[in-house]
Amino acid sequence: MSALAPQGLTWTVLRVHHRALLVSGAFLVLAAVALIWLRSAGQEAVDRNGPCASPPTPDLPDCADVALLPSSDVAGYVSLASTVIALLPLAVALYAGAVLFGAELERGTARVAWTQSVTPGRWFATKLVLPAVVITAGFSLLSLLYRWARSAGAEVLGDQWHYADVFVAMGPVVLAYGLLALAVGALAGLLVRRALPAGGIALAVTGLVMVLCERWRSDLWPPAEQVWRNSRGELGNSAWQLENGLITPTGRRLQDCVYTVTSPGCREARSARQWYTVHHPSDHFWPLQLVETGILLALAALATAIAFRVLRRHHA
Amino acid sequence: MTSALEAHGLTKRYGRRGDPALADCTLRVPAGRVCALVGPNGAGKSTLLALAAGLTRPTAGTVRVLGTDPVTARERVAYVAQDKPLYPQLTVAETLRLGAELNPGRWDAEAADRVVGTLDRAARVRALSGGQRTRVALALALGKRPELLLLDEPMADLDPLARHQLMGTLMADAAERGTGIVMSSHILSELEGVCDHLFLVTGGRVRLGGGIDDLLTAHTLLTGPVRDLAPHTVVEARVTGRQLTALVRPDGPVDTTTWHTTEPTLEDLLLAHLRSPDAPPLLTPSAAADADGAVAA
Amino acid sequence: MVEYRIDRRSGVATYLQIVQQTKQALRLGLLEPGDRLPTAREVVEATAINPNTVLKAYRELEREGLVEARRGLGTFVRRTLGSAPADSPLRGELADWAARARAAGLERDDLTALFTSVLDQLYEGDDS
Repeated sequence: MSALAPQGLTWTVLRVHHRALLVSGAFLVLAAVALIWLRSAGQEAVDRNGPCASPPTPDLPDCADVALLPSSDVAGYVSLASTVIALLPLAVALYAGAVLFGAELERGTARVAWTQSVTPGRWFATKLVLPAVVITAGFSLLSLLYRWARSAGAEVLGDQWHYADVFVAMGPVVLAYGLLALAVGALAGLLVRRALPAGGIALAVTGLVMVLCERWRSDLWPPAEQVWRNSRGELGNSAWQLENGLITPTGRRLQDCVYTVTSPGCREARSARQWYTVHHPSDHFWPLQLVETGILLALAALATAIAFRVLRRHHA
Repeated sequence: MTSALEAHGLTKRYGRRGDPALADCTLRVPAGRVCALVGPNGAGKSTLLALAAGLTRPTAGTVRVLGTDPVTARERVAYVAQDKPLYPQLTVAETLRLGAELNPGRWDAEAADRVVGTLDRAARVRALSGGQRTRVALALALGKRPELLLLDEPMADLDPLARHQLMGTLMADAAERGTGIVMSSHILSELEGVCDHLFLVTGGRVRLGGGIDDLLTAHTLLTGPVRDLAPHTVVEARVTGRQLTALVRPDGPVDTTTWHTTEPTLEDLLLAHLRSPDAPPLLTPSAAADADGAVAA
Repeated sequence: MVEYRIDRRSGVATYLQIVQQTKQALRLGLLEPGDRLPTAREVVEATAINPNTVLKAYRELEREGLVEARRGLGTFVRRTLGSAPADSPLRGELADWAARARAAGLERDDLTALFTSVLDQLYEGDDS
C-alpha cells in the first residue's frame, strides 16, 4: 500500500461515501467532455457565422444549410451549461443534508465512528473537509472549462456575463455556493437528524440565498453612470444596464419617459436634452464576484460555527 | 479501587419539558465486573449507557468512566447501541477494516475475527440477519480491546444458541483480560448466572444496586401470620387470607419462630421491587458512589 | 478433561454445580491427580457464565485440598475422591446386582428407591 493511500477516518469517510464519489467523478468527466466539445462547436459556429447566400453562390454557403448545422445551436448549449453549473450547488445541498449528515444521524451510523476512537468533532470536521476539497476541485474545474468553452464562441452567444446563471457559472461565486451548500447541509443534518427533511431544508435555504443574491447582486458594487447630452447614446452589449432615463433642465431624473415622451406624465420630459444610464460595465465582473463570494463564504463559516456548537452541545 | 463507571446526580432531559429520561442517578460499578442494568423499556438504561459512552451530554450531574470523563476514556471504552448501527453498504471485511482504521494502535484483528466467526467476509452488512449484525457490531467493540464494554440490549435479536455463544465470547474476554462489562436488558433470564452486579432502574431512577450476592443476602422472604413487620424495611407485603408473604430488608434478627424465612431468588427480588414502586432504593456500599468521591464537578 | 454443564433452573448455585461436577468426575475417575482443570476462559466460553463464578468454584475445590493452582500454568488435580473409579470391582458387583434386579422385574424407580433406602440405613447418624 502506498504511503499516499488514505488512512483512518479519511479512508472511512471515502469508503462510506464511495458511490457519491464515483457518481460525481463520472459527472465531472462527462461535463468536461461536453464543455470541450462545446468549445470546438463554438469555434465552428463563429467560422460559419460569416455571410451566406440564398440561393448559394460558389463563394457563399446556402443560408438554409448553415441554420441547420448543429453548431448553430451552440448558443443554446452554452446557455444550458451555465444553468446546469449554476444549479449544481443545490445538488450539493441536497446531498450534504440528506446523505452526508442527515442519514448518519437518522440511522445512527455516526455512532459507529464515535464509539470507535474518534470524537464527534473530528468526525464532523473530516466530513466537512473532504467534501469541501472535492467541491473546490470539481467546481473550479467546471467553471474554468465553462469560461474557456464560452470564450471560443463569444460572438454567437445570446447570453451576457450578467445573466444570473452565467454570472454564477463563470466565477468563484459558484465555488462559494458549493461550500455554503455543504455547510448548510451539515447544519440542517445536525439539527433535524433526519435524512429527507434535512436535505429539503438545505436545498430550500441554499436556493433562497441564491434568489436573494440574484435580487440584490447589482447593489453589491457601486454602479457606473453615463450621461449623454443632446442625443441619446447606447451602451455596448456587454454592459449590465440597471436604469436609464432623461434628465430635465431642472436636474430631475425621469425613468419612464425615454420611449414615451408623449404620454401625459412625461410632459416635462419633452424639454429634456440629457439622457443617463446607470450600469455595471463588464469590468465590474470581478468586484461583483469577489464581494458576493465573500458574503457567501462568511455565511458558510457562520453555518459551520453554529453546526460545531450544536454538535458540542448535544454530543460530548 | 477504581470504578468502571461512576455517576453523581446524573440527570438527562430530552427537550425542555417532560420527565427526565434519567433523574438524579448516583451509582458506582466497580472495575472488572460484569454488571446488569435491568428495568422495563424506557426506564433510562439506554440513556445511562449513552452518557457513559460520551455520545450525549448530561443535563446535570457528572459521569466518570474508568476514572476519567467519557471523552478522555473514549479509546478505552466500547459501546454497542441497541439498534447495532453499521454501514449497510460496507462488507463484513470492510467493516472490520473500519475498526482497524479508527483504532490505530489498539485494534486486535484476531479478536474481532473470532467474534465474526464463520460469517462470509464478502457479504454486505445490509444482507445480514439481525443476529449476524450483532456479531459484527460486537466484533467492532471487542476488536478495540476495551477496558469497559457497554452493551445496550445486546442479545435482543439473537436466537438462544447465538445468545449462548456470544455471551460465552464476552465472558471469555472478561476472563482473559478482565474487561468490565455493563449490559442492559429487560429479560432477566439473559443475565442470570452471567452478571455479578446488578442495577435496577425504573422511571429514570436507580432502585436497587450492588453485588448480586450482597443484594440477595440483604433481603429475606417471610411467610407466616399477619403481624407488624417493624423494624424491618418492607419492600413488598401481600396478604392471602390469614397468611402474610413479605420481602423485607431485615434490620436485626428476624423472628424465625413466627415466620418461615428463605433467601429470595434474583427473580423474587426484582419482581417485588417492580411491583412496589414506592419501596425505598437500596445501594450496597460497593455500588454507592461516595459523596466526597474523587469526582470533580 | 472435564466439561461442565450448567443448569440455570436447578436452583443450585452455579459455583456449587461446578464443584459438584468436579467431585463427581473425581469419584468416577474421569479426573486423576495431575490432570489440568479447564481454564476459566475455557469454561465461560462454553457455558456463558460469569468468570468469577468459575474462580469461586476453583477456590472452593482448592480449599478442600482437591486441586491446586499453579501460577501461570492452570489448576491441577491433587488427589482423587472415593475409591470407586469407573472400572473398580465394586462397580462391577453393583452392575451385576442391578441387572439381576431388572431381570426380577424391578422398574428403574424401584431400584433407585431400594438403593436409597439402603444408603439411608447404612449411613444413618453420619452427618456428612
